[in-house]
Amino acid sequence: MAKILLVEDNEMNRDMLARRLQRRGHEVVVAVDGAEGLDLARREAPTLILMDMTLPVLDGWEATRRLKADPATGGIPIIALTAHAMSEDRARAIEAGCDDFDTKPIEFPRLIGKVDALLGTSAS
Amino acid sequence: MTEDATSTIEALRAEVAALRDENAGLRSREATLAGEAERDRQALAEALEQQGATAEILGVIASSPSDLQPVLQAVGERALALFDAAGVFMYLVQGDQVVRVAAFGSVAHVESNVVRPLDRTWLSGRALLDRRTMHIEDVVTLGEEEYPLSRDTQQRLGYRTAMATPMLREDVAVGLITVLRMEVKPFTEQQIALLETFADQAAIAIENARLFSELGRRNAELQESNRQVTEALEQQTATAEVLRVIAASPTNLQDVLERIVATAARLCNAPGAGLLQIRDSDGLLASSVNYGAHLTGVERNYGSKAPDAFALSVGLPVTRETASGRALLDRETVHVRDLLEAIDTEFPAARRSQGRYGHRTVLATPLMGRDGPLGVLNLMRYEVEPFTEREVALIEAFADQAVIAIENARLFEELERRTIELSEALAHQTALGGILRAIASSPTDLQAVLDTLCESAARLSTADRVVIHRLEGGSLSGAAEFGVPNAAGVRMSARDGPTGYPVDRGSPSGRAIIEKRAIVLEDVVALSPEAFPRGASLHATTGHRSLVSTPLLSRGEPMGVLNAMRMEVRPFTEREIALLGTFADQAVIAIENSRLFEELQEANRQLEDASRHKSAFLANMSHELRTPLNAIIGYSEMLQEEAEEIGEDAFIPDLQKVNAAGKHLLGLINDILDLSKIEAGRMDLYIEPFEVAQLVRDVEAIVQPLVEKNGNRLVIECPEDVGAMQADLTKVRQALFNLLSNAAKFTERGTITLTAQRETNEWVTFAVADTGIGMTEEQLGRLFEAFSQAEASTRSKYGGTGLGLAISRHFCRLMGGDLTVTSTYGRGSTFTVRLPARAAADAG
Repeated sequence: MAKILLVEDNEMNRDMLARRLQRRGHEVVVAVDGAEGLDLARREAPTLILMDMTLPVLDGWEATRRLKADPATGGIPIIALTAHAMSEDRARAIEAGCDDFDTKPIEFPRLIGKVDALLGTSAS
Repeated sequence: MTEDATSTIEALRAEVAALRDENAGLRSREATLAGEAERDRQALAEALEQQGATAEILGVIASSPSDLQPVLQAVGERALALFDAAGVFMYLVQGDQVVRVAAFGSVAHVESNVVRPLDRTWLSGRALLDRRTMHIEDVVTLGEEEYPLSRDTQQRLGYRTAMATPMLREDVAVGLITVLRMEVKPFTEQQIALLETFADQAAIAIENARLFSELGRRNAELQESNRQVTEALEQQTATAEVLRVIAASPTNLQDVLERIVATAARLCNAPGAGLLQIRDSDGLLASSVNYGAHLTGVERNYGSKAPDAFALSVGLPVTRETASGRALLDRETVHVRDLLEAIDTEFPAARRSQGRYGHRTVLATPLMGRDGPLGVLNLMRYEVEPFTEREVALIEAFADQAVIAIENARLFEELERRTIELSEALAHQTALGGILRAIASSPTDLQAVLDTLCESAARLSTADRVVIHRLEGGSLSGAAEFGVPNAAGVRMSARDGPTGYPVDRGSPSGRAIIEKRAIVLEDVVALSPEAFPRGASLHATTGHRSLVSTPLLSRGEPMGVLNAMRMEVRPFTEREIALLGTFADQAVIAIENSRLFEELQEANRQLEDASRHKSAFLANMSHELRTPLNAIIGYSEMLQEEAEEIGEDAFIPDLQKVNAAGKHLLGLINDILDLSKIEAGRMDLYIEPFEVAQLVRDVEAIVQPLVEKNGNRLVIECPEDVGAMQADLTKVRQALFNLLSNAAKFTERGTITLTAQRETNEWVTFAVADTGIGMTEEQLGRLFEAFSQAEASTRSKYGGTGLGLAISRHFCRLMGGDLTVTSTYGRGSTFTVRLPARAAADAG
């Protein structure tokens, strides 16, 4: 199974998503803001990152840019979690270097599909 | 004839001398010749007597050339004596009759025909007709038939020998002398010749008298025509004078009137004259021109030299108690021979002026204009000396001319006044039009409008300087100006910052604002410093003299002042003051417009802010709502999974209800957010390429459970080679999901068909058809309005927000396409999404 870094500031979303991913057998590391996310990504070297975009301290776009710019973390796939219908957020997420995105509220089966697809790609 | 007589006398003398010579030689024959000598002596005496008679008659003719009678008298008396006759008659021819004009001798008094026919019935008639002397030795021998009238006369008078000689003038018989003897005694040749001489002399006298009377008549005629010519000349002179007056000064009525009065007085020999007009203000007769010796210096200056003299003069009521009033009422000339004599009985109201001026004879002639009497022209004499008929006629003719002159002058004045008014009005209209255009064309540029306004106001009111001050925060500051700069050479305008001075009674501007009326000052220098303390210092700055301060009033509230100034003392006229008032009104409109425009802009800004805030609020709000909802939805899903794992199946239906309710609420929130974004024009597109078939498959997977819920069958018609398109995938998917879920909701045990196809290379269409309840025309009309489901009851039965179709159509249109519908009530509906295959990002 994979080691997934979940960067999410909302406690309930973070808790719910972490538990559901763990139930699927993934190891989950959580960060509550962009700076912590950046720090944990370097230290924990996750297989995949789920990145909320609207984060305190350092927002998701900036954190993604830095992760992708850093050779040590640039290879980790990132799925952006954006607000509903905010197309400009999604566009900015792709620009910032995200590999895929999913809209909140999370439809868990759809998100798992995207996670599996990226892990499969990275695995091969 | 006289010469003949003289030569006869000469001849006789010679004969006498000869005889005297013979006398010596023929003394012997004296006895025999004594008788002859005696005869000769008698003849000589006779000849001398005849000569004397002829000369005497010539003397009478010479002494009375105009009078025939003394000549006839002399001729008759001499003839009677010289011819030893019983009667001498003289006749004159008058037409076809012969009239006896003189009779002498013993038969003169015997009755006889005085008027006789000019014919051959009598001796004298023949003498006249044949123009020769008739000598009849005995009338009795004449034939009765041949001379019936002569025989008749002979019987009555008893004469026997008769002689008749015509008086001839240029071969025309004008008269006749007849000499009668009672015995038969023929006249000698000498006597016949002498009578013919007398006849000639009488003819001369007659001709003389005729010529004289002719001359007299001619002279009288000449005098009459001379008089007529003189009169005509005088009237022509009067007319010419009036015409000259008109020609010289056609524009000045007062000048015309004065010249008319002076000319009338001169032509009619009147030492005093005047013209009275009916004054419009009180209907009294007021003096507009006085002329003459009786006036004082002040009165003589009446008229053009004192503009208000007419208005200020003491008026006379129009009554019959003055000559002027009576002339006006009767509309004819009143001639008062002696005013003093008639004053008590006829003209008591004239007592005062008569006592003052002492005029006696008065001639008052009304000036009758086309629309009634214009006034009265009076002539005065200070002695009793009535005007002649000629003078009265002259003044009446003159009055007619004067009326024409006055009416012409009035017409001319009126025309000129109207022309000036018209051209001024035109200039004002043009200027005001320009300002209104400036206001309309640049509502934001108040300064430009106020500048234009100052310039136009200065030009049209001929002011040297016009300034507009605006009232701001209780003090005045310059907003615009035009004309000569102030003494410091400093142009002031709002751009240069406030030049505020307080609003109080110390300045004309302040007073205009406080009193809310125009303050008009003829000369600011003449003002007392106490009255306008600040006015004096302002004058020191600008150097102006005449000033008008007009307040700018907006619905009675002062908002500034417009000052018009002249650098010389030349007071503003009523018209100019009114004009400046109009400009002030325009300034108010311009300022108000500008203020309203700014307010409007501010309101717009605030509205935009509010709208932005609303959108931001909604976005934030929906985010805030969504976060707990996500938890509700997510935890309920998770609990379902956990319940299944631990075998607590009894919880599952309730957890499903919580989950469904959360999702519905989320849908509502999303729709509202979408709609608010669409309405704010802030819905952005995320255009990306995608495979249409893949999209259809995704949608099919999502919607399949919904379709099956009502026992419906989903049919997909999508060719595999439909290809890719560029559009906002999320929004297309949302629209299709909305249409399919609607179809599933409103159809039971029917068929729902989703068709996707490429229509040429440019367009892709998606059609969602159902076999459901369908819609009426009315329902179709309101279908795409927000919050409109066909019926309120529908919502409770089928659920939904009523926003889906409105949002879907908006999405389609944003991408440059559309969403349309066809439906048959009870049979089903078909919704068609038609989109460009390559939507542009800015298509919305």
